[in-house]
Amino acid sequence: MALSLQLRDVQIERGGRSLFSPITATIGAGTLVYVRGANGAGKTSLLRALAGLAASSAGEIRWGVSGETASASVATSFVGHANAMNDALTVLENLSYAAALAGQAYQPVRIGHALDQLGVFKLALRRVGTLSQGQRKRAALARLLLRETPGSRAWLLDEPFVALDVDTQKLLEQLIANELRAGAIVLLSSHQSFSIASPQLTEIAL
Amino acid sequence: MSLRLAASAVFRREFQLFARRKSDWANPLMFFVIVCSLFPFAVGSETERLRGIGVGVIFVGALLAALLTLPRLFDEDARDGSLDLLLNSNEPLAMLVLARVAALSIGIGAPLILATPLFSLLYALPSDVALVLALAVALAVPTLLLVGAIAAALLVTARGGAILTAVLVLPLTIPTLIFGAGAASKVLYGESPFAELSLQAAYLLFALALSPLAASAALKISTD
Repeated sequence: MALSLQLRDVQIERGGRSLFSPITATIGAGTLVYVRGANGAGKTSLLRALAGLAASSAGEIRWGVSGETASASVATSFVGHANAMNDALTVLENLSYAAALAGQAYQPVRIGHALDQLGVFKLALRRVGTLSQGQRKRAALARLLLRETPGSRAWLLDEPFVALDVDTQKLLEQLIANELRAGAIVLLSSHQSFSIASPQLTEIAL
Repeated sequence: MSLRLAASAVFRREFQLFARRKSDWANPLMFFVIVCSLFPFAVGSETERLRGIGVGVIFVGALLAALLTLPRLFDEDARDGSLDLLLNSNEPLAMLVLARVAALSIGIGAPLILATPLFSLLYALPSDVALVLALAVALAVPTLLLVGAIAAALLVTARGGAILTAVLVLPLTIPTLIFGAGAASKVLYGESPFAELSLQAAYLLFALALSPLAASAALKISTD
């Protein structure tokens, strides 16, 4: 289940203006990629393009799973600024919806375990609308842990540390490090400083 | 297998939302009630006159009520990010959109269909007309939501998209309006409504075949 990512001359346009100079990179399993750039440099756009949510205007993005080309919807999990949770539904309902769309049968135990790892197990039956921003973020990050096996999906994290307290940030850093050890690729953008023990570290500067 | 899983999750979520937020289906129903009950005050309450306008008023009222729910289709999901889950699913987006429109048609349509015979009483329409009218509304609501899904998908991130959606959708619902209201009027004059109902059903099937594909393509373009 080795993951790989190849970027060839990837460019993204917004409003008729290209956001950054073409990116070419080859990223292998177990790599942490730090997407660096000022406000408006195109970090979110790049991550969305990598997640298959937006088209790149030029170049090629190719995800590989076990040597075969795979679609981004199979190879990645994306957590962006918005939490992808409906306020009127409970955390459990939101996560089981996300899991079903990702092709997994309803597995409350797996969801419970994912929530537990982020320390929000007791919020499973609460409506998202009643949670604080930090709690919502934690519940949204639990979506990452619903993958089939550790390391089977690349994590695309857009500002994952926003709204998290210091302890939770440490927890997330630990989870990312574990996932990298299991062979995942993690791309993240952040304006906050963080420290993640990673075998390989690359930087994409926009 | 996993398509069934994903589609049923989309379908179920819609009903979870209906259960949590009753205003989602109650608001269109209230709108329908208001439209239908205001007309008799304005035009006078003579039985003949009410019978003359009844079919049209009820049918248009139901269509406009259903139209009100179109922004609900994708707007909220685009705001909270859940739309990304839908777009990022490995399953065909058209089928997921179809599951969603189907759930919405049932959740919004059922109260409107049930209310139709009641308002037929108010407008002094005979019971056979009321039944055919309810059937015509049952065919019209899914048609409108299917066609509307395309416009709602195109305008999902547009500011003030709701009114533009209505402007785009209403002309396309005119066939179902003509055939549906025509069917009920035929019964009123003692003729068979079969031809009109068949044409209305044909239009629904046409929308059923094309609009999920168009809506999913539009969704991809507008969220890009």
